Amino acid sequence: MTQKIIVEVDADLADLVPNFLANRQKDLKLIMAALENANDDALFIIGHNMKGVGGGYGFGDITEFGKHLEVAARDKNHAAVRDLLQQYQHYLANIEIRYVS
Amino acid sequence: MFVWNDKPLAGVGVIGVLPDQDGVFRRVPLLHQVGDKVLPGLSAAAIFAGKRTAEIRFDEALQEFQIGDHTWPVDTDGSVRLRFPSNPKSIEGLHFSDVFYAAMTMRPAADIADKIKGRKVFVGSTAQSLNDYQNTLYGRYAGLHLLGQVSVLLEQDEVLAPPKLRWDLLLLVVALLIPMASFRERENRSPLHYAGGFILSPVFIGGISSWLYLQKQSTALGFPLLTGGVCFVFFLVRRLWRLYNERQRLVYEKLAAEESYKLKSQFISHMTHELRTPLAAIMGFNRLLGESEHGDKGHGQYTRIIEKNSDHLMTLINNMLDQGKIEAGQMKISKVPTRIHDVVDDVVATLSNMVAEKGLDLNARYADGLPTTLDLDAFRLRQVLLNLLSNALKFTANGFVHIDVNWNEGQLQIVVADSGAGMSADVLERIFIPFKQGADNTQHSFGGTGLGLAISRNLCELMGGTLTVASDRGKGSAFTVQVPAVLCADSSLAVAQPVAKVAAARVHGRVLLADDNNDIRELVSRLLKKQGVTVISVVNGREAVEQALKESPDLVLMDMEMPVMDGLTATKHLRERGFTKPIFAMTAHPEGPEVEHALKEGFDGYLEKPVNRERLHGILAAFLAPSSEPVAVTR
Repeated sequence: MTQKIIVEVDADLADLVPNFLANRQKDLKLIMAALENANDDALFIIGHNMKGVGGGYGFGDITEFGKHLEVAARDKNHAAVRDLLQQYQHYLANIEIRYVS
Repeated sequence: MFVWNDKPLAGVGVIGVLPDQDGVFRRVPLLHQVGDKVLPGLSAAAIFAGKRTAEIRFDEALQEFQIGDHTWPVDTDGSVRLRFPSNPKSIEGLHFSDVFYAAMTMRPAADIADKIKGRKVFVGSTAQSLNDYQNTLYGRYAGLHLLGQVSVLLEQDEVLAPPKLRWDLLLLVVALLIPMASFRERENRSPLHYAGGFILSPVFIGGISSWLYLQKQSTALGFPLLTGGVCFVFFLVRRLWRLYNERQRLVYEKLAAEESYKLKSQFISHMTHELRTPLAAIMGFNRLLGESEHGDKGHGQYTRIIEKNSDHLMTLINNMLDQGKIEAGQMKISKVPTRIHDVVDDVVATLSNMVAEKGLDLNARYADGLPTTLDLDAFRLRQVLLNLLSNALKFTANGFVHIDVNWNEGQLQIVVADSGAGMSADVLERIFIPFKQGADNTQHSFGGTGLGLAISRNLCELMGGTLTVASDRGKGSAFTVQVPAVLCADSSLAVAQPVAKVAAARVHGRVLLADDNNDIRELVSRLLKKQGVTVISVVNGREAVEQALKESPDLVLMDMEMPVMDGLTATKHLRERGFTKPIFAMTAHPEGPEVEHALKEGFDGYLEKPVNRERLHGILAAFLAPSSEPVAVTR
C-alpha cells in the first residue's frame, strides 16, 4: 500500500482547497498536452504558476515541482519534465490533507 | 560713356596689378575711384580701346561692369577675378623696331603685317632687372605679357563671380561635418579611419571648389580648409586625451587585477589549509570511531570533535558563499516584522557555551522606549550580531562583553563592546577588507577566514545602515551596528508577543488585488479579508488601472505577469495619472532584475509568491490604519 503524503493546511482555507486541488489536476492535463506538443513556453508558464500558488496554500511541494518544471522547460529537458509529471501525479494521488487551526 | 550715379565720367585709369596677400595675382582692377568718380583701370582702357563705339556701364547694384556685349562681375574694390587657363596660349612677342618701322614707313614686312592686322598690339618693354614679373596660380608672367593675357581673358569672359556666402557656408559645413563624423564615438575605430577622414576632408572641399570654379564661381577656399583643419586637430587632441585617460584607467585596473589575483592565490592557499585541517580531524576521528568498540569511553569525545569541526567547515563554506553573493550583487534583504529582543537573546543563547567556557560577563541591555517589533531582516541581523559577538568573545580573555540595544528616531543601534585586546589604528584600517585579518598571526591563533567583518559591514550597508568600530589597544573594542527600521503596527505593545500574533494585527482599509491566477486571487483575498481589509479583485492590468482610478484603494497588490496589460505597464499608467497610493508587485521571481526595474518604475515594494503571510501582514500593518476590532475570518 502506498504511503500517504500528509499535508497540513490552514483550516481557514478549507473551503478553497477542493477548487485548488481541482485546478492542480488541470495542471497535469496541461503539462501532458504541452509535452505532447513540445511547447516549452507553455511548460514554463505552468511551472511558474505552480511555483507561485503552491506554498501559499501550504502545499510547499507543489511550489518545488513548479520550480523544477520551470528549469526543465527552460532547458528543454523533456525527460525531466516526464519525470516531474510522474512525481506530480503520484503526489496529487497520495496526499492526505490535515486541517490545522 | 562712363556712367556713375547718372553723372558722365571721363578719363583713363591707372596702371596697376592687384596681387593677393599671398603674392599671387588672381584679380585685375577694372575700375578705381577718385573722390566720387569711378574711373576705368588700364585693363578696361585696353579693351575699350578696341571698342570705342561700345557703351560702357557700371551697375553699382548688381556690381557688374559692361563694355558692349561683355559683362563682368566686379568685386567691391573694382577688380575682376580671372579664371586663368591651366595651359595658356602663348602670346607672340615682336621686336619693337620692326613694329615701329612698319608704323613709320607704312611699309611693313609681309609677316609683320599679317601678325598685327586685326589684333591689339601692346607696346612696351620688360626689363628683367626691374623684376617686372607677376606670379599667377599657373605660372610667372612678365608685366607686358600679363597685360596681354589679362586682356585675352577679359575678352573671352574667363572671369569668376566674387565669393558667395551660401557656397562658402556649404564648404564650411563640409569642413566641419567630416571631422565630426570621423570622430564619432564608436567601438573599435582604427587609426586608418581617422586618416581616411583627414584625407577625405580636403578631397571633398577641393572637389566642390573645383566644380564651382568650372561654373565660374570663386570661393574663399582657405577659410573652410583652415576651419576643417582646426576642427580635426581639436577632435584628435580630444580623442588622444581620452585614450590617455583610458590607458591610465587600464593601468590601474591591471594593477588592481594583479593585486586581486595575488590576494586570491593567497586566499586559495589559506582556504585549502583551513578546509584541510577540520576535514583531517573529521576523517581521523571518524576512523577512530569506526575502529573503537561500541560503548568505548572515547565515543562521545570523538563525536563532539567531529561535530565541532563539521560546524567549522560549514561556517567557512557559508561565509564564502555569502561573500560571493555580495560581490555578485545577489544578496537580497528580506524584511519581516521582527522582535528585536528575540534576535539578540537568540544570539546570546547560541554563544552561551563559549561565554561559560571563558568565564566572561555577558550582558544584553535594552534601552527604555525600545520598540518591541520592527520591520527588519532578522536572519541577516542575527548573522551580523553572531559574528560580532563571537569575535568579541574570541578576543576577550577576561572581563566583559556587553550588547547595548538602543532606538533613536527610526534607527536601531546595537553596540557590541568588549574589554579585550583592542586594536591599533593600522589594524582597524584593514579589518573590514575581505580575507584580511587584524594581525598576521590572528588566523593561526584564533582561526577564521577573514570574511566575517567584511560580510557583516556589507550586510549592514545592504540593510541601509552602517557598521563602525572604535578601539583602543589594550582597552577593548566597540562595534556599532546602526540600521534604519520601520515600526510595526503593534510596536507600542510593551509585553512581548509571538511574531505571528503581532503580524496578524487587524487593520482596516481597501486593497485592490490584481492577479490573473484564480487560486492566488482566492487565497490572497481570503488572507486580506481575514485581517479586516475590503478587497477589490481584478484579473488584468487594464482593469487594475480602471478600478484604482475609480475606487482609489489604500493599497494595490499587482501581479507582474498578467494578460491584456502587465503589472509594470499598469503601474506606469497609474503613476502617470497621479495615483500616489502604495503599489506592491507580486512576483515569483524576486531575485531577478525584474523587481529592481519595477521599483524604479513606481512600485513601492514587492510581495514574493508563494505568498508569505507574515510579509503580507507586515505590508498591511505598514500601509493601512490599525483597527481595534478583534481578528475574525471573513468569507
